[in-house]
Amino acid sequence: MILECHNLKKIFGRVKAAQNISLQVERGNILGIIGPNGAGKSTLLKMITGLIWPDSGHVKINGFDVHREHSLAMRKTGAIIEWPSFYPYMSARRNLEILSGARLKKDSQRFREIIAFTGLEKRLDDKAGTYSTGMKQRLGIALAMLPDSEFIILDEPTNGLDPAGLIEIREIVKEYNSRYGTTIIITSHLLNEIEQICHDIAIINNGSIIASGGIRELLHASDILTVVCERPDEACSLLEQAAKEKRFPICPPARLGDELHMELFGECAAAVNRFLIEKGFEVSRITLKHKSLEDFFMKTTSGA
Amino acid sequence: MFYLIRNELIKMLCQKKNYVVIGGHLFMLGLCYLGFITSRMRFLERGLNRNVGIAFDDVMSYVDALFFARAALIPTYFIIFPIFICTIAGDIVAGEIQEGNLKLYASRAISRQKIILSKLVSIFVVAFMYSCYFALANVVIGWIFFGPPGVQLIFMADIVGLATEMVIMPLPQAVECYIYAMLYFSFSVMALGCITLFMSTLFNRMTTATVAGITVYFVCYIVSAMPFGEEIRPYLLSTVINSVSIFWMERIPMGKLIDNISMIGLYICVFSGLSLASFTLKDIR
Repeated sequence: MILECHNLKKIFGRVKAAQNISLQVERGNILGIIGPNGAGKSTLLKMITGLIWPDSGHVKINGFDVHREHSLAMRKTGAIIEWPSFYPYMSARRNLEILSGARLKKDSQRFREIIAFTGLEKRLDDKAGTYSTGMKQRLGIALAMLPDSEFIILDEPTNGLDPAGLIEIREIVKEYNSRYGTTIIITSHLLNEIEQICHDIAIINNGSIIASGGIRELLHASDILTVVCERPDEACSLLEQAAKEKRFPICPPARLGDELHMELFGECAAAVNRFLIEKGFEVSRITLKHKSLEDFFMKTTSGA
Repeated sequence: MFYLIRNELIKMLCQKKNYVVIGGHLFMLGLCYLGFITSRMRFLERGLNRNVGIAFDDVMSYVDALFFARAALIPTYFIIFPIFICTIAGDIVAGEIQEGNLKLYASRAISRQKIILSKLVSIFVVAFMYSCYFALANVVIGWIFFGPPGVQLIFMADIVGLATEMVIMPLPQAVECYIYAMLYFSFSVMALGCITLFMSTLFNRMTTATVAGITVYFVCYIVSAMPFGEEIRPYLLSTVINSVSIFWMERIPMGKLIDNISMIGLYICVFSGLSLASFTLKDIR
């Protein structure tokens, strides 16, 4: 594990920003943290990076306590929390030099690689104040990668970007993870982007993690099966009985016109189809829809 | 650590406020020159006559580069310089929190202690650099307006709490005293910088921290001028800063000098320690 958070708690006045948050991130994974506004995502990231002291609990990166052994914990970690703010009156190169906090070897292979990776070569000596939103985000990512980060935290890196910028950032993140095996935590309101980039997700609401795990497992845990067959009333009763008897891992079906919709909790679409055919029902259409992250998020946060 | 201090200095010296303070200082020197030539230093003649009982025919004959520089020290080191240092120290933590730069920096592999110590040392370096600059600029401008320095007539009849006896000082001794005064000012302004740095770690807005530092500075002056401030006066920062006038005495009272330097040192130690503690435990939101 590269990151371990245990029972993090933080209260600001009357606001419980974090309530017993525990989180682990495996090396080489991309974790997406999602949640509504004010859920506690940024507070969590600030506790992870040592910007905020938790009221209780601790955070360890590479086995080092972030608050008590900060320099050791953050040695190979880079983070961009909220909007990356650079010194507008200084060049991007100078900003990287100063904000990385490390003695950068400007001609080093690694530095040149990162600059090329983020597409900043041509404007590295321009003042950061002249940069567009997209370029500032790329500069922020470059900063997080320097000098040699194996763990990167990006808080809403796609904020304020146009569609082309979104795709660019997505590709940079995926490519960097696959090329260097860097562990990445990313937060975003764009669930579609999270779904495309991340291996794991954690959903935060009201300062608590309400769901976490592998994105495929969480989304496929409740697929929707739609069946169109003759005598839908009879088929519906039959499937209801089968669900009660736990013959298949399904919820009792709901009927919408000629369609029967049921939630599956395991891979049993073929078994349901075979069951209906054996009982003499002619199945004219059967479709399996994977739940999108948006569906899962709305269901989870409204339930919480 | 040296690298961090270098970075802080680069940040500070690249900002436009440096041009503003240099421009403001030159403007002030211009006004001082106008004041000198329009008043013909008659107020000094009257002061000498009243307090020392000596009638000078032409005090203007004593006005030269060093005389002008010494006179310009008062508005420079008592007004411009403290306000500038408060602005620098207020910006260095609170300003960076406000702008969001500190979040990027403090989440790197640098301890909070190193961050605040590098900022503290850079304030001292900037205080010293500007002190040297102001002292030199005063002399250079004075040389342009009034010619090279010679024997110095030293007298001050209680301006902003500063008062000296009348002394006729040879040039080498006067230059030495001028340099000591410049060093003393830079050291005493470092104390004000530490106080404002502490304010900067408490507040999240640069203006609040700067105003707090400036308020402390001027409140000390006001309280020391009040009759009820008699007992606490020797310990106030303003009294310590005003003691720069001892350098213009015929014989510098070393005991008093050591007391003042110790007091400045105490301010620096206490407020540096408070800044360190406050910043280490601060939530950077």
